[in-house]
Amino acid sequence: MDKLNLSIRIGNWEFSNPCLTASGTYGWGENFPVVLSKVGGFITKGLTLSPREGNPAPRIWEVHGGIVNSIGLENPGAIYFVKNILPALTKLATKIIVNIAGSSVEEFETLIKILDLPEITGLELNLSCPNVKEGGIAFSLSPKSCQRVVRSARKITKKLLMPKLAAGLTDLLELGRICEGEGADALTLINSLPALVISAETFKPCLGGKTGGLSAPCLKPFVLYCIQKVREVVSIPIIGCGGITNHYDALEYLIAGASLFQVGSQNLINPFAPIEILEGIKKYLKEKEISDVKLIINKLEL
Amino acid sequence: MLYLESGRVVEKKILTPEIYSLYLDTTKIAKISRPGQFIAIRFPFLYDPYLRRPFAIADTDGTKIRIVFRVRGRGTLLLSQVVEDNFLSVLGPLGNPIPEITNEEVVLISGGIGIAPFFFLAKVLVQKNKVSLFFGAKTGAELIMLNEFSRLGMENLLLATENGEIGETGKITELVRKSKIPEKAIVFASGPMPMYQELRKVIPNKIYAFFEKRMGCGTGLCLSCVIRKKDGGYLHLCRDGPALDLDLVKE
Repeated sequence: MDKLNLSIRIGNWEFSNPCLTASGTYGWGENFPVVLSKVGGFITKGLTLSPREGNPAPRIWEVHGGIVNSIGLENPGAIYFVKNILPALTKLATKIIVNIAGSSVEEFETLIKILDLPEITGLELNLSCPNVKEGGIAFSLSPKSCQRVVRSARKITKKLLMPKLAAGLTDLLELGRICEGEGADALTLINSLPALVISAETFKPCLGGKTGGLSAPCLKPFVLYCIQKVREVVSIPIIGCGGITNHYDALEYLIAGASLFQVGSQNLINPFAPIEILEGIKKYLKEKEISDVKLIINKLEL
Repeated sequence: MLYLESGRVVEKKILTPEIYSLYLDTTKIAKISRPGQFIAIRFPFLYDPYLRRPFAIADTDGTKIRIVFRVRGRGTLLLSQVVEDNFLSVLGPLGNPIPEITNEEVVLISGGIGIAPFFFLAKVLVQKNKVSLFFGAKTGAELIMLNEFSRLGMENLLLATENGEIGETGKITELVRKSKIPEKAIVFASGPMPMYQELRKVIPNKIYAFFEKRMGCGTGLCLSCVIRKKDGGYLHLCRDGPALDLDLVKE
């Protein structure tokens, strides 16, 4: 068999393989450079304009087959990031994608201007963080603000723009169409689902930030559904995210219609998961005598 | 350096109906583990429970790691059910070791299952220091590993139980208050929050306290295991701890 081809092209950008690390699950890229140098791209934790200290503890709660997190976008702010974190990231042999979270269109615009730097390949527009109060959930979930953010982002930068969309309380198909119409290069589907964990003993929420985002394996069938449905209505590439634990999960996301996938919560229990998943995909392709990973994308037989 | 190892359970001990001890064959991790560090364990192939559970390294001989734990939730309940020759997924060593200490008086103060990190600490510290251990628990049975501690050659081993079965009757903090802890002694404490609050009142020494928090990854990736800092913001237990200068902590 010819050499295995794992590369994926999204717009003008060639990824060495379809595996990215999901925002918030690989810190600021300071740990495990060996892993990060092998993935197609590293996505930072959510970055905001001003520093944020994040939510009080507990910030994580285990549920059956998954976790609910409420980190609250702890981050040092965009200026600090550019000055003190980005220089080290550029030494990694991978693409750098910065996840940005604004609480208004103007804040997104300022963030994009600060980050419109050659070292950065793309911006993942966090239009869906379930854990921030400012701007309110109404801002992050409304089709109108989604449209305005993507439109103004496209005017400012030529970088890879990938809105990360919320599912659960939104019309994902509508949001997907809007993002494509406004010039997004790809869609990340999906952010962690809005979730609430409460105690019958105390009558109170269990998490310090009260509500959180559900992630990990329990999410997988829903994400597959989202990918498949959105694939039918948009033509820009989809980046599948949520619930991947092994290479079979990742392959299923590609088959359902994703061009890239993100490994998220699994990094928390196994920081070497991205490498293991990539190795698993290679083995699978060799066994099936498939020379190019692109040949399985969107090949679901319905 | 950090390793992910498949650790065989080589020995299991039931110390009380609720407290268990496991020896795990984890050669790579054991070889580089230092007192104060921890490991994170999960059950291979299971996705429920999903997250790893952090455990202090109670002891190591350079090839095996010992943990001791109390059954508190579904993770520890499942862990209490493993049998010898089962394999567990072990990530470590994690967190910061305590610094090298020589020619000092070191006082260890422990409440209940807080004793877990102290055997390894005491074993290493007695080589070059005068070490005293204050150990309190609710009952005599919960004063675990007493024989092993008594063989370490510490200066003092002071015990208290709330039911009076062994040692002084009452809380260990009361025994600490009555004892003369040298001003220059380096104090490590490991136990519940109320014990730390009480210790602040009864001794003026700087206290390095071991903390427990709900932890996502143990490796600094997720920023879940936060503890409020006195001067604002948060410490991250897996990166900054697990032992912290109690003066820095607001809780």
